[in-house]
This record gives sequence, structure tokens and C-alpha cells, in this order.
Amino acid sequence: MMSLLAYRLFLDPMPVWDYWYLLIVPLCVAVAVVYKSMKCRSMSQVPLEAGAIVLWILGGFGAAAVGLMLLVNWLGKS
Amino acid sequence: MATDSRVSAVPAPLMAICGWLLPGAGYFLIGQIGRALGIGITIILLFVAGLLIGGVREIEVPGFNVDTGEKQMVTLVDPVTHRALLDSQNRPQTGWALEVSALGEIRDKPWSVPQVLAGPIAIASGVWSVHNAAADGQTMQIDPATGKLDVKTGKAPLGAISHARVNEIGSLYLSVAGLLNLMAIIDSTWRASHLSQKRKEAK
Repeated sequence: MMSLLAYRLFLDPMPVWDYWYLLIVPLCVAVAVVYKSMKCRSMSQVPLEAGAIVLWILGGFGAAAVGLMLLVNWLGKS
Repeated sequence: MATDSRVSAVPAPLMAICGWLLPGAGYFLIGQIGRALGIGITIILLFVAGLLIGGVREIEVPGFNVDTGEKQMVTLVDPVTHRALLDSQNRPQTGWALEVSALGEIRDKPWSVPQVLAGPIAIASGVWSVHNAAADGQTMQIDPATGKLDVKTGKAPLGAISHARVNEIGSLYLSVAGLLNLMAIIDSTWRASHLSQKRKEAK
């Protein structure tokens, strides 16, 4: 609450320290929309195709995170 | 087709420059308005989101000190002896980092390279970043005892510098926006030349 009161748009960093990991979602959406806008023949196909690719990217990141967590845990025990 | 008639009028280098000046403008010039708006608005929103997340001072402008906003000066070194060059009063000679070693300065601030690909919006943000690093702003703190906002003028930069993940993520947003614009420039230029070629073959 205190940090929100003193926050100045663009001059201060956003107070997102506790949920920084959620910031991957808009980044993935932007990459997917631009990529699919280039690939699709018609722009009407873009929302559906971009939505699908966003899920793929987030799923891939999630799988990589779980894989790395398991690897680190295994290396820590051995 | 309307698209083909427009293509012949726009040379590829001009399209690339227009695409850099305004993200998505390359598609606009070949008549693909929907694609131009979709790509352009997304890239600009991503860039603005990056500035919002990390604050404008996350942009590190080559040639300018990140902490003070002043010109980055470096000591001049003799290329043969690798010793500092001295002036008549035996003090080390200094020069502006961008003039003395432009590549070295850019190498020290590598994020600036993809960020500038987003177009003039990146250059304007860089100017804003340097301006906000100047020490003529206000410090604002909330007194934990009284809960009141304590404002002191002067001696502090206008904008706050971000650190750790917030800085990294903000810089990533800005850089991805620039790289996506590069993709858009290449794609729109390719489309223009490809359509132009098809038109010539059809004649």
C-alpha cells in the first residue's frame, strides 16, 4: 500500500516484486500475436492461432521449470 | 488487386525505414492495413509495458552515465604504451566515451542495440531516461512513524532506477519489442519485393 502511494508512472518501477513471474504472460501474448500476424493468411485466424501458441509457450516454460527443479533437487541430494 | 498496385510504388529500403519509424508501417504501405495495425499496436504496447514495468531509467543510453545522466567520459590511453595520456598540467586527458570507443561503449550497454530497433519511440525514451537521471528531482519517502509523505526537492534523480528481476523483465520487454519490429521490417520488405516480382512476371 505504501509503495503504491509513492508510485509515479514511468518514473518508478512497477511494484510487481511479489508476482513478477506473471509478467511472462503478456510477453508471450505479444510474441504470439506478432508472429501469427506474419504467418496467417487472414488476420481473422490470428486470435485463435495466437491463443494456441501462447498455451504451447507457457506449457513449454512450465515443463522446463519442472524439469530444472527436479534436476536441481536430484543434484542436491546426490 | 489494390495491394499489387501499391507495392510497385514503394522501394524496399524505403519500406524498411518506414517500418522502423513506425512499427507496422511497412505493411500499411503494401495495403495490409489489418496486419499493420495488429503488429504495430502490439509492438508499441509491449514497449510501453516495458517502460512501465522497469521505469524509464532502465534504458541505458550509450554515451551517458546511468547514474547521473551526464556524458560518460573516459580516460584517453596511448594505443602503443597503453598509458593514460596527460595534459599540460599532468592530469589524465578524457574524452566522450562514444567518440573515444563507440563499440566498447555499446558493448557495455548491449540491451540498447535491440531496443533501438523499436524505432524513434526508443530514442525518445532514451532521451527521457537521460533527463530523468539528472539530479534535480524530488525524493519522496513515507515516514513510517507518522505515515505522511515526506517530499524533499533537489539532489536526487527525477526517476528511480530499477533493480533485479523488475529491471531485467522491463529490459526484456523493450528488447523483444525491438526484435519483433525487426522481424516485421524484414517480413514486410520481403512481402513487398515478392509481390513486386510476381507483378513483373505477370506482365
